[in-house]
Amino acid sequence: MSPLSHSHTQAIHTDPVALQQDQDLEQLRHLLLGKDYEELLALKARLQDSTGRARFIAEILPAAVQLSSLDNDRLTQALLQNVEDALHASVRKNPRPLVDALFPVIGPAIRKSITETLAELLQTINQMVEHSLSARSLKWRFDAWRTGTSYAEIVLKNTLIYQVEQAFLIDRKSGLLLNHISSDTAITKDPDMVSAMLTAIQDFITDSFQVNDQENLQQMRFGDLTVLIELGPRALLAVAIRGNPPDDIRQVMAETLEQIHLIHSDALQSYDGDSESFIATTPQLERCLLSQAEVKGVRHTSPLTWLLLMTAFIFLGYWLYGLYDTKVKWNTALDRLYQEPGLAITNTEERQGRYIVRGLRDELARDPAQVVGAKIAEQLNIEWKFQPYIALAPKFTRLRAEQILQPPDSTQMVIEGNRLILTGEAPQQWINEARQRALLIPGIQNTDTRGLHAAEQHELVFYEKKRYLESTILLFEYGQSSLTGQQAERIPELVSIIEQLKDTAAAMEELLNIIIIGHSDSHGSVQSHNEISMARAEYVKQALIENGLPSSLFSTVAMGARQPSTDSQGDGGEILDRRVTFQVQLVNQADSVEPIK
Amino acid sequence: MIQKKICMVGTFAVGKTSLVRRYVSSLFSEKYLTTVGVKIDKKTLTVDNEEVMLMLWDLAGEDEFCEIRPSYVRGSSGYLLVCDGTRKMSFEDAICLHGKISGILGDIPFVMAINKHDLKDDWALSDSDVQKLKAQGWQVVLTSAKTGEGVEQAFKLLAEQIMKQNNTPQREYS
Repeated sequence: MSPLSHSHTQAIHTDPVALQQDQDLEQLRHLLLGKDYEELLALKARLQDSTGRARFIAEILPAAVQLSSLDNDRLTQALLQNVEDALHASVRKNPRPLVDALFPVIGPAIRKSITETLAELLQTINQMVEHSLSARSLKWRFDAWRTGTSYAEIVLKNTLIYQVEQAFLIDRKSGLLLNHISSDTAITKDPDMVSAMLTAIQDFITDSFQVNDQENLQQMRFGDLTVLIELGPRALLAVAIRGNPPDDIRQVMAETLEQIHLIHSDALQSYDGDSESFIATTPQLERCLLSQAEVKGVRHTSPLTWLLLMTAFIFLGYWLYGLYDTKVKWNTALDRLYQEPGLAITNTEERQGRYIVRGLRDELARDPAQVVGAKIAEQLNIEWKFQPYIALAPKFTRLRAEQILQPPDSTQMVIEGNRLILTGEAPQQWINEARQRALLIPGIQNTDTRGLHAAEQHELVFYEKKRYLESTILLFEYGQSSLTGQQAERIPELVSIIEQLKDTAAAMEELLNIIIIGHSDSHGSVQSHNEISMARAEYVKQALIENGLPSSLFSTVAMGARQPSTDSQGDGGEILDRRVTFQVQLVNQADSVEPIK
Repeated sequence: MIQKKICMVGTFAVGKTSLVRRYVSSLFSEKYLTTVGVKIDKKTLTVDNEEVMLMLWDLAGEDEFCEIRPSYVRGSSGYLLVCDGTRKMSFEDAICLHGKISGILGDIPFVMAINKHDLKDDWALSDSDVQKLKAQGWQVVLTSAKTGEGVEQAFKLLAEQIMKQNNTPQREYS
């Protein structure tokens, strides 16, 4: 009897007879089972206790799950639906916990994906830009239009040294496709059928040419497309490569296939047409998607090319410099011409390497070629086309007045606005003619001759010599009262001037008095100034007398340092203060010399 | 999705290619048949709510009767044995080919398609010929690539047999 029937009996029999029978049975059980009976009762109690049962299962569950996963995937399959339902329920209820759990994984994954996508995009754009304007690019655009693919893909295809476009993992026995991956730019057509056909071609070669069973078709080539095939015990790996593949790619293929055979050995062995489990081979296959872009190598340029380039560069530089130099010279010439009085530039033009300057030119203006500079004018090959005109600038009015009036040296001429002022001495006849002619001078409307005195010819000579002598300065060394060197050599010339003055004064019936005025610099005392300035005047007087002039002509004055030279300002200017000057007077015999203040 | 390799087997001019053409849209041209000796097409269908992709290997019929390239049929999960109902000889060749394939692949699912059933006036097979095969457990379908008669049915029968065998846990008995 089972333990269950025992408890059942205890629960339902309440009459004394039945109770007695139960006790008898109980004793019988003790007798028959002994200690085992107690253990059975305890085990029953544990099974009926749900908490204890849960604790018991919790103890063995981890080990049981581990054992199950080692043996087969039935537990995984059994839990799959429940886990998926639990995930769905969790997301529906509150997606936050799942988001928090996945965040550390999803972030880097997204970043990596974006980085790779951008890198590929950049590569594509770089190559597009690089080849967008070449002759080749036109052909590629035509190819893109002809084949219906994008231009970027055509560019990438043509600029790659090689690229593994597709990788096929194929069941060796059936030719069925286990997994397939392709590059982003590859043009793929139904990989299932392609893989079967690849297998068929293998079989075709094997059957047709009676080759060893262990050998296989390793390579197919068509134009720039190469298909490499690597054979494994249960699967084969085929890759389609555009361009010239390197030798080591076969090594990569072999390693990949070995790795797949190692990791997916069971799945390959038990393959029955379900390729789902081979999606896990994608990371291994991606190792085969190698590519190498065209690298612009350093091309060795021949010395002749360098020489030609250098020559061309020098000529280009020379030509550019010539252009620049001509431009600078032309601008300089124009600046000078525009600023030159008497020239009015109205138009300039460059025609077939020649420059043409048009405008108006006063006949008294400088030659424009001289204004520009003869060398520049010649280099620029300037053609001058000027019309005559009369410039009314004061400079030209004065020049024109001098040309028309031809004044004697004793006459000074000043132009103020449209007025001509004449001063000094001149023959009466000239003065009369000048008054009339002045009005013919363009730009002159009236003439002022109030400061102009009429004089005979000998008077004009006198005044000319007087002006000369009065502008003469004899210079002395510091602290010296005698003339040396060139200054001393001027004495004979002064003697000649004074003799002419004496003769003309006599003709004018006048007496001549020449005042010799001595000056000093500001060094020393006033007394010393007077002494040395007097000594200098006396020295000159004595020198003139020694050259034959009568002493009655001369008087001397010591000016000291009271009249410094107007030109003696600045460093070293004091030498002009150490001087002797002259003053010429005409006096009657009765008159005395006017003292100098 | 489950993939299965299926071979179209039969002597020359029995209409294998026409049957396939009726059944699928092709990627490869029929020139492959005369060059490589095989043309591959694909057809996806549903069997018991499960999608199956059939890779159809259309093998070129040999000039010599009852010849088969073992490499082409290796790895097949089943085959469609095709004969021409207007040529008794092709019927016998098909039976012969079945024997050859069984020798290579063992007992795998197959369906016999007796083609050109639209040419009833030229029909060369008797009912007893067909019944004999059916009696041996063969699945026999009368087909016409011209009218489409039986084409879908033949492939579907074959797919069902294959999937039935696929779902049998063979590993436990191997």
